[in-house]
Amino acid sequence: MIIIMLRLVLLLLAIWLLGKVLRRSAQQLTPAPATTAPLVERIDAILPQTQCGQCGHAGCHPYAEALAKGEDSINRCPPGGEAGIRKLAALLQRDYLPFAPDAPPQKPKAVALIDERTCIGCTLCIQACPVDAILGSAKQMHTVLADECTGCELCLAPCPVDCISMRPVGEGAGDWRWGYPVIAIQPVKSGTRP
Amino acid sequence: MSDFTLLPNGMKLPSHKQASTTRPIATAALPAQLQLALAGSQCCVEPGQRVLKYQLLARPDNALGLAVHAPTSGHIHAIAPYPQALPGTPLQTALLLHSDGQDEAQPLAPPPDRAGQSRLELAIFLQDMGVTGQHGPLLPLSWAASDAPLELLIINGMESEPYISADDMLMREQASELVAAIQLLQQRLRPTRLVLVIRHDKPAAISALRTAAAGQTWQIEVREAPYPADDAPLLTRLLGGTAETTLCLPVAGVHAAGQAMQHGLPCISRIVTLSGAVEHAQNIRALLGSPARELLALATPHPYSAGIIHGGGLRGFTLADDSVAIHQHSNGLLAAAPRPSSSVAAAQPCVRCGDCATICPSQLQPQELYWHCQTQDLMQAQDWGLTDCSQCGLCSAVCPSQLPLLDSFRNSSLQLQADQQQQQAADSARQRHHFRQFRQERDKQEKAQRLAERAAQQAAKLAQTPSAHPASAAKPEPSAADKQAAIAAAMARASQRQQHHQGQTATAATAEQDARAAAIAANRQAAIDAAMARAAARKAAQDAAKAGADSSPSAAGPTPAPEPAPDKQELIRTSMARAAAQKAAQAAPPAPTTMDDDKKALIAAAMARAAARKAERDDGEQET
Repeated sequence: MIIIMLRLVLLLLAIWLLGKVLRRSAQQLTPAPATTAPLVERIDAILPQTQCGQCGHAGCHPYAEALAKGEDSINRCPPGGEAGIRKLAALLQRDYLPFAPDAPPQKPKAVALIDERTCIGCTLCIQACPVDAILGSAKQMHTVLADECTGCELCLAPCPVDCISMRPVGEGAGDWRWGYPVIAIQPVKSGTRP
Repeated sequence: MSDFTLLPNGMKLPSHKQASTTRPIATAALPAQLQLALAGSQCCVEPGQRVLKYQLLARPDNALGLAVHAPTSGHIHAIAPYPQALPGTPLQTALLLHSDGQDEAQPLAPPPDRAGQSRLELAIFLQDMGVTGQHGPLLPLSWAASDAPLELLIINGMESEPYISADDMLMREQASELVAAIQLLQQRLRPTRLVLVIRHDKPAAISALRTAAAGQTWQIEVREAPYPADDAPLLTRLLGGTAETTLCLPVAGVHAAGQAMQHGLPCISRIVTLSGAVEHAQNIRALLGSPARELLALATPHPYSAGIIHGGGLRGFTLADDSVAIHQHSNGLLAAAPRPSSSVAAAQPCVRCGDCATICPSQLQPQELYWHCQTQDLMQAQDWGLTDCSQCGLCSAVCPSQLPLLDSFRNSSLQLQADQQQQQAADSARQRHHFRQFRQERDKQEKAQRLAERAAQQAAKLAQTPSAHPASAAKPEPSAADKQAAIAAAMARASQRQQHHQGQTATAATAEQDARAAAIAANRQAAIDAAMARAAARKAAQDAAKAGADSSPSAAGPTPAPEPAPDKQELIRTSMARAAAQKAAQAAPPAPTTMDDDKKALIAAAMARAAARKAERDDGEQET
């Protein structure tokens, strides 16, 4: 009798322990929700942040929101380039798409430059700049902070005297890189290894 | 003692150094022209200017830039983009200095007081003297500005790359200067431990240094380490330091720093090994900016040599253009032997032999890395340790398939750097955009709040003054007075304008005679006109005020006004009319030469231009 009781107690103990272990492992298996950023933020991290609106949205974050909801296609961001489309496709688990035919063409990176002799100090471009990269005040000459300019071209349209032009960012010494090695691979006949 | 156990990989290479160490260091003849690259520095001389030896030509303008000093006296011929040593480099702005052969030096400024120099001051001083280290100034400014402790200072005399013997010859011939420089650095930087590490294959340099450094508190360590032991991270590991508390300085830089600290001599030359397929392999002290071809000609290259290799036997690259100038890092120029035609054969597919993995001193898997670099999969390449690659070139050297491993790692690591910079720029743009949105929202809220407060105040005021009706009943009279004053002012303005118009025609008449005289006269005339106009306006205003005063009783006739009211009204009216007249006189342009007119004309012209351009563009679009 005592032995049966002991066995029962041991059995209960074992079941309790097993349940505890299982619960712990189950807790470990479920991912902690706080560690992974929301999908919108992960998409936004891939987008180039030019805030140019060429995708038809009012900036990169709205486009990321639309992508996260599945309302827009991934091939509408010209500044992101093909590499951007590939990254988006990998993240959203969609197929790679070539650029949309109605999307604006890709351009090399350029930076806005204000012709300081023509500028009348109307501040319209300052209000248009999405990243606060234009400096100036009313009736004073404006200038572009070239390091902060994303090349979105949003300042071109509002200028009443057309004094802003886009200057392509030239290859300086800092942008230099070793050329991609181009090699011709020839088939080797069996037994003729040099 | 062997360090092959500590550095498991690496390779014992034929050193090829004997040929160039048989002769003492020669001094190169003064070249006819010198080409000094302005990377990270801002030019402070002009073309055509004569400069003296040691004169400052360019100031550093960032943390990695170096000052450039004139290596000899002469004239600045041009400041223009010139080709650089690295293959495929875009043209870089450089100074072209035509030497005049006199080598006239300017007096050297004494070096600053040594006792008061902090670490950062010393680093900036060495930057201003053009003393270079591994990357940029000898003492990195970011390191000098931080207060990281310095536990181990390594003076790197390993020089394990084949063919190069520039540091070897420097340590042999200028051991005492080097020892003095090391002593100065020790006093200034106060490292816990200072080691001059030198490779076992330089017995002459070792004995010279041991004699010169007798009685010094720092140690000379002789190591037998394989190539690439002169790599700073590997050397740090070899000597038991940690990356955060160790500084590794090249021997040549330390020597130049000593010259600068002792005598105030800027760094204008360096020792270059001339070797390879040449008759007289040797080391020379060459001025920075000397053309590579002229320098190598001193060693009489073999007639069959093909091209110049810049750098050592493994890391060096063939110069696309022989006329490029040497720079701070040009430790060697080798005449390339023509390759046998069989070895020029193209690369073959990877055979998975694993030779590159066994030789890699950073213990990477170059074959895997190469695979990812080829597909431009930089994320994977980073996971496989691309950033740890020291680009020593051993994997390329041992690859039986002659794959361009080093070239692809160089390309991809720069690509990775560029991508990281781009990501940083995107992050900063995102931050700025978010802040802008936040600011706009805040401004909007503040404005709404302000308006609400004002509305509340007004409502409170209205509620507080229930006797608003008499006030509003009394209002029509002042408003009538306002109207009259406005009429008076308008009349004054009209008469003033008429006056001014006459004045303008008068000035126009004089302007026809002589433009320049008219411009001066116009100013004077304008002043007279303005004064006359002001007087006329005042008179007109008085008249108007009088008229208003005359008419006001008739206007106020039906309602008998209280006694003091007409006086007050009259006073208000006259003062308002005067003010209006003054305003009119000021607003009326006295002459066409004023700023406002100029600006207006400019704006009008600019807008017209813009409109024309827009119209042209529209036309173009329509045509297309």
